[in-house]
Amino acid sequence: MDDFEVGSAEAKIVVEGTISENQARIILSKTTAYLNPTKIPYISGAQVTISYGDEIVSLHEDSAGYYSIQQNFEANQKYELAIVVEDKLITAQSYMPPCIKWDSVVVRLSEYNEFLKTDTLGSLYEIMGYITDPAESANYYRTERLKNDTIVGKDVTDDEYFNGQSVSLLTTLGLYKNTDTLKFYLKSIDKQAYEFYQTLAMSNSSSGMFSAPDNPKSNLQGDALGRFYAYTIDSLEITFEE
Amino acid sequence: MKHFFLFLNILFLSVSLLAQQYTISGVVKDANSGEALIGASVTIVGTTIGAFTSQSGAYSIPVHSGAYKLEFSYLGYETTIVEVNVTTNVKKNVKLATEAMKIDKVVVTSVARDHNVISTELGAQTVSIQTVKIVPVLFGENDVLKTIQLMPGVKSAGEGGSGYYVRGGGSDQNLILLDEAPIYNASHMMGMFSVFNSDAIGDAKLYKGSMSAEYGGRLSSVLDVDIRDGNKESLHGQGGIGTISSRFEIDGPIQKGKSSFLLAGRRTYADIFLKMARDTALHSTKLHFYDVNYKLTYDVDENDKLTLSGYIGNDVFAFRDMFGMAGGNITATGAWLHLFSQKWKLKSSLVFSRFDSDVDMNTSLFDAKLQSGITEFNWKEDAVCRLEKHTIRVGGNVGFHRFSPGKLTTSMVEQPIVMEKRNALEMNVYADNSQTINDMLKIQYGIRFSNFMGIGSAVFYDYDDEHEIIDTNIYKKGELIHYYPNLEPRFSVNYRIDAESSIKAAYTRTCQFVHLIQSSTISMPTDYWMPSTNKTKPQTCSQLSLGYFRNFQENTYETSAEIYYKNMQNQIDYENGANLFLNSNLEAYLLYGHSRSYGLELYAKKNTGKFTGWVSYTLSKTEKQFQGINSGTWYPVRYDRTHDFSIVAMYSFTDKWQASATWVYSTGDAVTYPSGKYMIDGEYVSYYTERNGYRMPAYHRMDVGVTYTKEKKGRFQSQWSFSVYNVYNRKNAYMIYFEPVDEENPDILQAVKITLFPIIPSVAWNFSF
Repeated sequence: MDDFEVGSAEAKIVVEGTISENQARIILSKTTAYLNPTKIPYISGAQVTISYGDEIVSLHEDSAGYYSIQQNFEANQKYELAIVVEDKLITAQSYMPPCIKWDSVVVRLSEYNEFLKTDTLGSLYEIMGYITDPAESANYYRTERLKNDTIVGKDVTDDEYFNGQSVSLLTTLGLYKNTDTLKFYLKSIDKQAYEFYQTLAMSNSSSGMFSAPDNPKSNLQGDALGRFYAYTIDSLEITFEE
Repeated sequence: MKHFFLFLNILFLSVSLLAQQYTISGVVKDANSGEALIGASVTIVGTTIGAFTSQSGAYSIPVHSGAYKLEFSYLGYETTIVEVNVTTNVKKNVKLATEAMKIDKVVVTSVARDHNVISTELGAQTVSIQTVKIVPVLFGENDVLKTIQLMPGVKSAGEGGSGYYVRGGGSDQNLILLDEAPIYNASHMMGMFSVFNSDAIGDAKLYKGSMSAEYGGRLSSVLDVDIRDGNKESLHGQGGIGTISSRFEIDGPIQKGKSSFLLAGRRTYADIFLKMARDTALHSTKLHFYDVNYKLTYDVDENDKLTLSGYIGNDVFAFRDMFGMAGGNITATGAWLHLFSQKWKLKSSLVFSRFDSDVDMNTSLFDAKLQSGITEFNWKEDAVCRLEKHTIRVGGNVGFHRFSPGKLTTSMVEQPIVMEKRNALEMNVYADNSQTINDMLKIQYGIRFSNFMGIGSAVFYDYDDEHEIIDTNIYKKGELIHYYPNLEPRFSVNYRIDAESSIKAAYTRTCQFVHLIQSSTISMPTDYWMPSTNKTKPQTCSQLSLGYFRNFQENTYETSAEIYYKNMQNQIDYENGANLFLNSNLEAYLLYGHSRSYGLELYAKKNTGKFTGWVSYTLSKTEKQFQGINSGTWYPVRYDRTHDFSIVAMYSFTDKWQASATWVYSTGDAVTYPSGKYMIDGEYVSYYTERNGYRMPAYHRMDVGVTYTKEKKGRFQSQWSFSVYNVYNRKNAYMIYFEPVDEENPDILQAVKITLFPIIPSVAWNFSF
């Protein structure tokens, strides 16, 4: 349609940062136009540091806008990011929770498979991935489901409705063929990371029918978009066979 | 309560001391059916003194002794003049005969032709049920809520829907009354139909500016609809077979001349067609709604009338035994109308209203059941006294509300997820007087004292900025949690310039103690009502309005221009990303702010002749301000449509053929779209800079209809009605989203719009006997 256009705001700095038990990775870039974007402008020459306890480490720029460091970072610790770029200071804090692991993953043929009759696309399976939520703390999870190394599903949840219970975080239906591989990631994250993904999922899409969309809630301080979060991860892989 | 009755007594007493003249009173009825005519005009010829008949058809006019000519008129009936000699109180019952079925005369309002000029009402619109039945609408399903959307100051909530916004207020700020019972969800099928079956109801009256102190509980408007009384003389019925629904109504005497019944039902049958589908899976799909209206009336004696009426409706959507959704309203009103004298009447009513919603899911992975609802009981007293220069109204009500916002029982977690039920008590008293100061000046003033109390048992929480609970307050059963008293003054004045024109001004304050939690612009089963709490204060609104009313050619044409300014406090919105679904801590995520709306409304209507209809235009602005949204600056609400224009035209070619057309135009909705994007986890995220900073394309549409009325056979008459919705097939944008231009350039996006209804013809066959 021709009678509808959106405008272009002034470009803002974007931070995409994570820290896991073996590396820290920060990508610095800028926003682009919504409809007709230019190539993503990555930002070189920034000073990027991460501090924790009494330690402070600097990240090196591997390629334009990509900063990283490989080393061990311990769980149950708070990490602080500081970026100096274009005369601006951007900071963020994130807590790395202890690692929660999958108890089991159940995959079974769905009783609706027959009803769907989709032999060419594969068969319809029901998938459930169980964890045991620790009762003593508020926990936040991000799950990712990969089919043949491509993300096909992701979700975040808190434990408000199942604190201390054994529960499935992955209740889904999916079409799979023989020889397909499925990988399930379980990331333990902190409240700010949960809120970033929660608000991103709830309110970032705009179709004009539901309540007004908005930017996700970011834990960054300073004039920037994006997020920085620490996580611990557990993964589980299965392959469909004849 | 004791004080209230004392107050009533004093008022009664003082009024009777004042009244040292005679009255002419009586009841106006339909000569054929014996039905009471509501809102018929009784005027002393040659004066402006007069009255309208009440809901029981009664009127009462104070006069000094002498000879008078009384003119009785009612739309669609022959005007009758009766001579009366007054030396004592006179009782004059009149039966009016219907005009021969000349449809061109059966259009528009049921009140005196110059009511708009002489009354103190500002921003009031009467919608006659005859007009509702003629105006062409989607699928030919005529609907009073769709017709009022064509009035100035009233905006449609969405294409084809029955929701509406009045003068910048939200769709949850409209009080919708069916025989005094508030309807909490006035729509069927997510808004496609309203709960009002045109066969069962009388004229509807919408108040959007000044309103009598008897009305309260919602901020923006009142829509007052009554279920018709059944015919007391003979059996009558009507019905119709339409494109997606059928209706049947029957009414008649139980004891001739004394008591009557009315029963009306509707059902849609989309799912009956599904049974014919080749795919057997669709056979067990259910998609329909039904509703039933009923009314029983009993005239105990000349001075007492009892009625029992109500509504039962249910929407059902189900797919096999896997998914089911049901919900509906139930109302019941029992009323006793008593005439103490020819000046005084008292109406006592008991009112029940309930809205329920159920969602069921039953799959091999899990099962879940979500239930929510709201229940209300009310006892009301309303007394009216008509004197020569005063019409005094006093009354009050006591109401109990129970809110059940949601309960989810599911196999996925051990305990049901329950949002706590809330109880509330409401007590209101009001007094209102319409006073004629002289031939030029009329005023109406009133006050409503509303009291809202949250009652235990309940648990409330206090939260910090991080949404964490910092304090828990437990209240015992029956314990008072919070008390909100509010004074709502109402005032309006009419200055008559000459016989055909007047200037009016009004100030109205309203209060609302319930808040609708709604995630989208369409009505969803996950929406629920919550009461005002310690944290969520009652909504209040002050409105100032000013109007100029001018009729032409002996009221053949009526015109008006009104301006208004409205200020609404304690409005709610949600924090970014707030989870509205079953969130017991939702209040931690509520934002409180205010909104304002102002506008100009122009209206011109032709009342009589072969050609009738109206043109309405609204120029308005509605904005909100919230800490935490749009950097705390004013932003337009979604339905802030600057220009809103409607034309409704009806033309009678002959007694048999009649045509109608409507055209609507409005500025597009104010919506939020991104002004940039960035990459997170390999996917684009939208970057927003301004709330509701963009506009959807303008909306416009034309609908046409033709009605062919067949010759009457005995009492039986039938009618074919053809209509075409969106006749020039305008592709109005319902939704706009963005998608890549092609696969090779996934970054380059283009806007794509979704259109809801293209050109849609429909046909219906209606009958009456």
